[in-house]
Amino acid sequence: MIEFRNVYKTYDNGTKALRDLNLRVNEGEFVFIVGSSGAGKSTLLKILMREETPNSGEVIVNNTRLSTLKHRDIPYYRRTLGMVFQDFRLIPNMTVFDNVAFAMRVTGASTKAIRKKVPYVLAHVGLAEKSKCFPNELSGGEQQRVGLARALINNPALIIADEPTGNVDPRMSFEIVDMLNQINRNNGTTILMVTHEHALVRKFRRRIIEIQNGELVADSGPEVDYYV
Amino acid sequence: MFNNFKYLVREGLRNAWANRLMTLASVGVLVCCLVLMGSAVLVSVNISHAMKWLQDQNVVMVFLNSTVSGSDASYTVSDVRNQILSVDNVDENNIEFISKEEGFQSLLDRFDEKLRIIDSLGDTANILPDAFRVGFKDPTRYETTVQQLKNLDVVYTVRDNRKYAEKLMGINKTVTVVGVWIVGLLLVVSLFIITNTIKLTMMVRKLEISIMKSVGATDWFIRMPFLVEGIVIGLTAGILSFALVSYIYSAATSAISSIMSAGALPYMSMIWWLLLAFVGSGVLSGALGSLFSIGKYLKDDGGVSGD
Ligand SMILES: Nc1ncnc2c1ncn2[C@@H]1O[C@H](COP(=O)(O)OP(=O)(O)O)[C@@H](O)[C@H]1O
Ligand SMILES: [Mg+2]
Repeated sequence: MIEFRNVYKTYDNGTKALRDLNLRVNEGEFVFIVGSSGAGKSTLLKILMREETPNSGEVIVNNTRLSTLKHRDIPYYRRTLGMVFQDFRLIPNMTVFDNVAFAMRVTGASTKAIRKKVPYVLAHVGLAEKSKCFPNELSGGEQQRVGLARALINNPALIIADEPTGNVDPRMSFEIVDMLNQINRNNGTTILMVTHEHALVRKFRRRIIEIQNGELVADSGPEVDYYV
Repeated sequence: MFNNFKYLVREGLRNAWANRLMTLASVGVLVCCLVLMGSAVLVSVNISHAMKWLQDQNVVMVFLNSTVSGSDASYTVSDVRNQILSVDNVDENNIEFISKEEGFQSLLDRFDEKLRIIDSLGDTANILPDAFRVGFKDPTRYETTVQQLKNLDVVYTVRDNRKYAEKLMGINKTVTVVGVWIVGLLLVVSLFIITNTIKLTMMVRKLEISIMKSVGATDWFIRMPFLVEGIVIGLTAGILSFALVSYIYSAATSAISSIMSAGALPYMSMIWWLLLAFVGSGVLSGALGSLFSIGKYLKDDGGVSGD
């Protein structure tokens, strides 16, 4: 599903964010990425989103070599991903419904399909009643569930979450990771989640990768027992 | 993709409205630009028209160096007419004697009240010579015929319409050159303002754009609302300046036609072309402005997670 081969990333200002990173994640795995601040975790995710490109090495996602992607192919590649961010990234002047619908509309979906699918996904994350609310009327946990609904709306094969619980209180954090866990178990969606919260990592007992100074320093190993 | 089209147009209109102060500024500058451009073109077109009219006249005024009418006449009118007819290109059916009194009167008529004072001076003010209006059979031999007429002893000078045409051509060139510079400059200014208006929208919509990118919007999808915003600016400016120029033109032509016998081109004959030109150049500048402003932003594959 995901493969990093000898990936180096140095930013224009000379910061070495990733050094010789090698990583393989199978389809259907749930991976926690941990490491101290500035270790290179977000850089790894940004390379997966094709927001940054490595200086050397190869990254392959779903049989696509990211280095061969042309500018015009990138939108179509990104439609196969779901992204969840720490700051939710919801549009303040759009309702919950419209925020989720937005991600579908971008792909050229019809209004009819949008009307059918959005309520379904909102119900799935427990926000059916909040569909007419605006983001500022919701708690952090609820806002992040809207973010999750938006990430799910286009049926991605891979969900990338960068500290999704960073702005959410602990009880809600558990709920959100539980939801991701369910999505992974029920749909086989591969999930990569960066987090600082050790309590969550211990609780869910999934694969753990640790990055320090741009290097992979620990890996609990692939979850071969879930998908063979 | 077509229900998307409706959505994207609505978004563009929303942008233009949310940003109405800058939208208005852009429209204003573009209107100035288009009105000046339109005026320059209309002036130039009218000068060409007058030039053509003058040339089509194919007629010259032959002024005589001695009097042929009145008591002190040294030649008779028919003598001179025969001399002029001896030039072979002169059309015998298109030759007319105009005495100095008649010439003076028509001059006075043309300038109306303002020169009544000269009229009151009486004959002593009339320094016009007697003249013939002479038409040519073959307009292609214009230059040589004029020269032949000038060579006649009896002829003082020939008023050559082509000379006027050349003068007009000179004015026309100046109008065109000055017009091109003004328009070029203003076009740059308009583009700059439109570009900045749309950049402002982009700043406001930065989050939206980055989310669009993250969920896989194509460049065209992201561009469309901005393009619509630019086109709305251009269209509004095009229609406004068309209305403005129409008004100015109709006011100006009624003034011009009283002085110039060639008359101005009737507006109705070119109204559709002008509407098309105004709206077309407005929309084009609006569209270009928005494409410029968002171009660089889209080239960058980053800006997805927004930091
Ligand atoms: N756009 C950038 N330009 C320059 N340096 C950057 C950029 N993004 C991140 N960095 C640097 O790269 C290193 C890794 O950053 P990041 O991947 O965001 O770490 P993490 O997410 O693990 O905290 C840090 O030292 C950070 O300052
Ligand atoms: Mg980070």
